[in-house]
Amino acid sequence: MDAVVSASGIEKVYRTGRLTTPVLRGVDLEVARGECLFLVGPSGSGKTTLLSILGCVLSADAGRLTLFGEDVTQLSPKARAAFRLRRIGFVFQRFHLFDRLRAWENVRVVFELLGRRNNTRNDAIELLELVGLKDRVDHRISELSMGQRQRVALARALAADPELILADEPTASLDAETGQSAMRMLKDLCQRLGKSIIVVTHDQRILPLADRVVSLADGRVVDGDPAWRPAIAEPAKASNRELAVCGGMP
Amino acid sequence: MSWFALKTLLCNRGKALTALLGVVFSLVLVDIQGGLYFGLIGKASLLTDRCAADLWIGHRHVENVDFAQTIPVQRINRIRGVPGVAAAEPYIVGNGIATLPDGGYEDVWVIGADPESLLGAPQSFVAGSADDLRRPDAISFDELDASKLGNPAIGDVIEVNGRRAKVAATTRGLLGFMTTPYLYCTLDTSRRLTGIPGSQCSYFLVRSARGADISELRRTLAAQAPDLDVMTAAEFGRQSQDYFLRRTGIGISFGASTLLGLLVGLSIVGQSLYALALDHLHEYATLKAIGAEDRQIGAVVVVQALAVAAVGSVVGVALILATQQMFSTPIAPILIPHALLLAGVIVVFAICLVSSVLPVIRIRGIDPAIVLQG
Repeated sequence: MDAVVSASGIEKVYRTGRLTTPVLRGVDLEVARGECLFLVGPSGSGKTTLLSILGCVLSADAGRLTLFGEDVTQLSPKARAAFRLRRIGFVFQRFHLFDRLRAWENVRVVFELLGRRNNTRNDAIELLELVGLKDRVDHRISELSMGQRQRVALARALAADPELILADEPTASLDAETGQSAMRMLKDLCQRLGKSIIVVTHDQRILPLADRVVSLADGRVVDGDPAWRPAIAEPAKASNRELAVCGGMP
Repeated sequence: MSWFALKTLLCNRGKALTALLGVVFSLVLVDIQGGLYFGLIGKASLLTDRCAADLWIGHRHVENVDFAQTIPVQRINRIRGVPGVAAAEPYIVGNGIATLPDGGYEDVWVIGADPESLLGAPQSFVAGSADDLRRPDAISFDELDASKLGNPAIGDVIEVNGRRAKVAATTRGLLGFMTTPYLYCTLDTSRRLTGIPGSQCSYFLVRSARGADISELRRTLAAQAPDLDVMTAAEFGRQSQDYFLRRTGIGISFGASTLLGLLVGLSIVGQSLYALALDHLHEYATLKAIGAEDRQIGAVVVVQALAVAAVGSVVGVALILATQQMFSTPIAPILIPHALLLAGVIVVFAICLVSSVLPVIRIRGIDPAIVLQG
């Protein structure tokens, strides 16, 4: 497998005073190029922490993480920031867009961080067109619907042309229909652009879109069967299967 | 990221205006306080500043142009013979007591200038002229000192040290550091009024020949008259100002109030920028999560601070010039040299940069993981 992500023995412990809470207890995970992987599991299972580590936002306490063939385990915070800026795109749970900026300016932020000064408006508009927001480029975020905001977040995630997109509960703020369509667009786009996606979600309705579902429980992978492929055409069946994978998720 | 910084600043108009207020307050305070200081202390060197002499020669250890000791006039002949000296004139700075029509009295400085050249005599007349001063017993004084002398009109006679003096002219802008009026007249009149004999004077005023090196001439004259002090007009002016600075503590007083104002300005700007940063912590965390370096986010705060400093400087300088125009008077002149304006602007930029340190530290401490944790 041409692995974009290769994590082995990832451990993470949160410390609050004398209290230590192990969150990840030796997670092994591989994600192939172009793969759309969903991370599921009950609250507190370590999904978001794992996503943060895979996105180089957090560092693991133990284990080894290789992204795009590069060992990032020992990178300094500064090097990790530079790495994720260029190679990883994020779609955050609440989008975390800059409300006072226009849609295209939200995308421009990434260009600026990359040090690009020229043609940033045109490039930002191009990305917004890609996500179907051609006629909303000059709208402020507060003037957009939640679905449109999600698309802006996706355009921003794609701005640095990263190889990996990490999405944290991308449909949590959307209604069922919008969530489905947004997720479908995210997957289609990434597939078309040859990008890998890791999605953390509780939303059972979108699970059929996954190439593979990995379930976490109590900081461990409890099901990482790469052969598991829910049929998109059979959402009800997939939903049932997802429930089984989640192993008692509420 | 300058545009991002400015948009963030502009969307928080309240905090931006508060920071701006702090900058304007600091700048206006620094420059107006400084202007008042320079205006006031500048009056201590009025006689040297308003005189066309290049060099002043006075009694050994003379500290202040107003407090002269007499020197023998005959020494002037050797000075006149020094190459590079175009002219040397005796000059008198004496004191007296003017008797007022209502029986009161007023201390006065009597300034006597050579009647031919009138070197060291006033130039800016409100009534009368320099020629009028050449008449016997003629004196002039500043129009704002008239009330101290009982408001005498042109042609009126007042008594100085019991001797007759006739008001021939009034001038403008010739108020000294102390409240004592300057009475300008010729050497003869000043001798008669002060009792300084013809063999004595207070200073020799020297004008250098065209192209002469004044520093060199000063050294030559000092060598010729080792028992006298030879100073350039600028040196003597500074020395006269230092005299009051040392003895009155005026510099400490102005400096302390200015420093206090700066601290208030600093705290206003600092508090505003910090509050602005706190309002946007989540956005900074988002930037960090995307991959922004601390340096880039720090630059956002610094750009905001510099923008506040730049706009505040423009508004502040406009306000300072307007204040100077409206409130500067000969009694309380507000003298703002360009260097003071520039220094004030540099100080507010420094204040803004210092104020941005705390928010930058706060932002550096944000964990980008909070964005992913909801």
